[in-house]
Amino acid sequence: MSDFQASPELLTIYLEDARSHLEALDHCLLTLEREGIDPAGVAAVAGPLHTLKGNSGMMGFKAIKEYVHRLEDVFGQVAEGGITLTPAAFDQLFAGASALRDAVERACVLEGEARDLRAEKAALDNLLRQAEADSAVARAPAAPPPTPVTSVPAPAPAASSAVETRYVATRSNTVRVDFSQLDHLLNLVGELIVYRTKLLHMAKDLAETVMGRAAARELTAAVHHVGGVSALLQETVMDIRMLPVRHVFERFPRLVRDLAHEQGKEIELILEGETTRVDKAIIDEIGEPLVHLIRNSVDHGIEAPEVRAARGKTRTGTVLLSATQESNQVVITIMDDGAGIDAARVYRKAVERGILKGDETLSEREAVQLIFSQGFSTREAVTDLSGRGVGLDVVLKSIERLNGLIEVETVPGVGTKFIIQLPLTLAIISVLMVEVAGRTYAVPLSAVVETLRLEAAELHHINNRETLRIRERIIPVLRLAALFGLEPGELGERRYVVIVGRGEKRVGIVVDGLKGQQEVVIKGLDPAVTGEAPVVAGATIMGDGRVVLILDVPALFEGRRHGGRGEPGTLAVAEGRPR
Amino acid sequence: MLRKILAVDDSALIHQMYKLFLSRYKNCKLVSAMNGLEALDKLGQEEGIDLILLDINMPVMNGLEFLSRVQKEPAYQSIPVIIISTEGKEEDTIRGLKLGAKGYVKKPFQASELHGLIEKITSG
Repeated sequence: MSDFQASPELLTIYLEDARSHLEALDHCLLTLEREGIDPAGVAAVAGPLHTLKGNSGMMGFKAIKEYVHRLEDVFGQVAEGGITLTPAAFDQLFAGASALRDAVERACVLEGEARDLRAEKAALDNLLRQAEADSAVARAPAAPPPTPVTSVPAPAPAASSAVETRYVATRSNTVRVDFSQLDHLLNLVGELIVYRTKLLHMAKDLAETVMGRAAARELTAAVHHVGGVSALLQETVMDIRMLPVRHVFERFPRLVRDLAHEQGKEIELILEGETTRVDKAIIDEIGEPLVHLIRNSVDHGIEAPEVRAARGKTRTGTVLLSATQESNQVVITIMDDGAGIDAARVYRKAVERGILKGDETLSEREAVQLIFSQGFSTREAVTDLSGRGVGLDVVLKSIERLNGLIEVETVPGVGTKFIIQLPLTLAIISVLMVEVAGRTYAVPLSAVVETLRLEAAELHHINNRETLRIRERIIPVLRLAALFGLEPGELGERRYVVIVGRGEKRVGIVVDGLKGQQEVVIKGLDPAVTGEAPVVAGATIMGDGRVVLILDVPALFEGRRHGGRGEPGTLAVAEGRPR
Repeated sequence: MLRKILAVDDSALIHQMYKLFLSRYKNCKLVSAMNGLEALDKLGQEEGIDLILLDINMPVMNGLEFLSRVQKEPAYQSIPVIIISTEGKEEDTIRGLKLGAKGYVKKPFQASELHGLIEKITSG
């Protein structure tokens, strides 16, 4: 280590930089493997590697620096045609890149190197030695070695200028900002908007009472102006928080390549819509569920090449990962042309696992959605059920945490498509404002299926639970008042029921009134607070300064999270399945 | 007495390190550029730069190109340039010295090495 302390700040900068350089390395290796050796492709990685080497040296990460240095030598030889990259060599380089990534990440966590890269470096040395031996052979006046299909002789004098021109970045007009500062800024803007509304009310009141007309007009105009600027400010801050989904997608070509290799499959991954922009908070969370789904497509969707050939398909399977923006949502689809999901098989499995009783009549589509049920897939299920469902309940939960939805469509023998709908941002959500016992609560609009007028006579008691029959479907009903320990009103009064959904399940929430929908800036609540009210996802501040709680709809479907309070009978929600 | 140092490097990490390493020069302003082109802009904007720390391998405009342009500009010719090189590109360092750089430090460098060279170059 140098004569300075590796501060967390330096480590953060180093790590962020290193990650992008390592991404460039992966990208370069993938391109070379797929499209053959090309000097421009090799040159593209020269800059990133050189910077990574310099930075690693400065941080005192010697093993990393040495490895990258050797890697530069290898790429230099590759560009000059001195090294021919065989499939085995590619495997070594990919393994080395993974090890390097691991070494970098660990060094940053432990504030010092913890992984030696000796074995990986030895592999590079072998490649270099091989090159030397080959060139000695080539110099001997023997038969020329077979020309590798992919090798292109590098024009030596042009190489260095190619390095300079290919390693082009746009001029830096950017500033590095800590994301938490942006969060803070958004919070401030949220509050500004709250007070803008309050200011508007006050201006109106004042105008009606004390002030002269001209003064009132001026005040109102000024307040409106402030309002307009705050709205623009909010939009701008939101925009700054947005990142292209490329940040998540770019890891997947490597993942698919490795998985396909492991399983002897041939798979092409196609990425679409990588420039679609999403809130960074979502980018950070979406990676894991996507890895899960892609892995699922590769493991269980795409068949082995021989199987595909026998079924009259191309030997190479395709996985398509795409993102598009649709109004204020982003839709991510993962589609494969694999075996599809057998609905009957899923149904049988669900009965075996005790998720269904076996006397239910489900449509094929409904049956297939069962793969998202908790307990559908366990470890042993992976081996004896050659279908899908590797912990997809986990995926469902992650998506729901992001206020998103996931669906699956499948055609047996043709393929499967997972569709994920996500909000563009987590910071602002659309909610339905409802009133209960004189208080206001917010229900995330993404979960609301419909709202209905409710007459007391429509409620039925089944097994001591209140239920509602809507279009031949029995739906359990919850009383928001009871959930929050409020004084329930008289049943004779006019009520409404908000039907919320989670997958195919439905629950009705009885409220006194509907107050319309609204966009709100969501604020997290301290767990110490939500512990008392476990069905609360967060809170928001209204224009008049009141705090309104936002319901956690997925939690309503999980009896265990709130079974301990109130009357367990009324809170434990049975699943509302069509019968 | 150093008043302004122009640091040219495409790595944010290195800039952060300069900030640390050069904090000993009180009242000295550190001007940062991420590549040669940006550095030329900064030379035009900032008056009285009296030292340039220059990385070689940078996108858009590399250090050698920047250096040769600076050397052709009478207004900037006299500003001493220190090359901050990375192992493995020794020939570039030599080219830089031939182009008129006053000295070089090799990454990874210690703060003391940099201080030593800066003092040697700026005092004489």
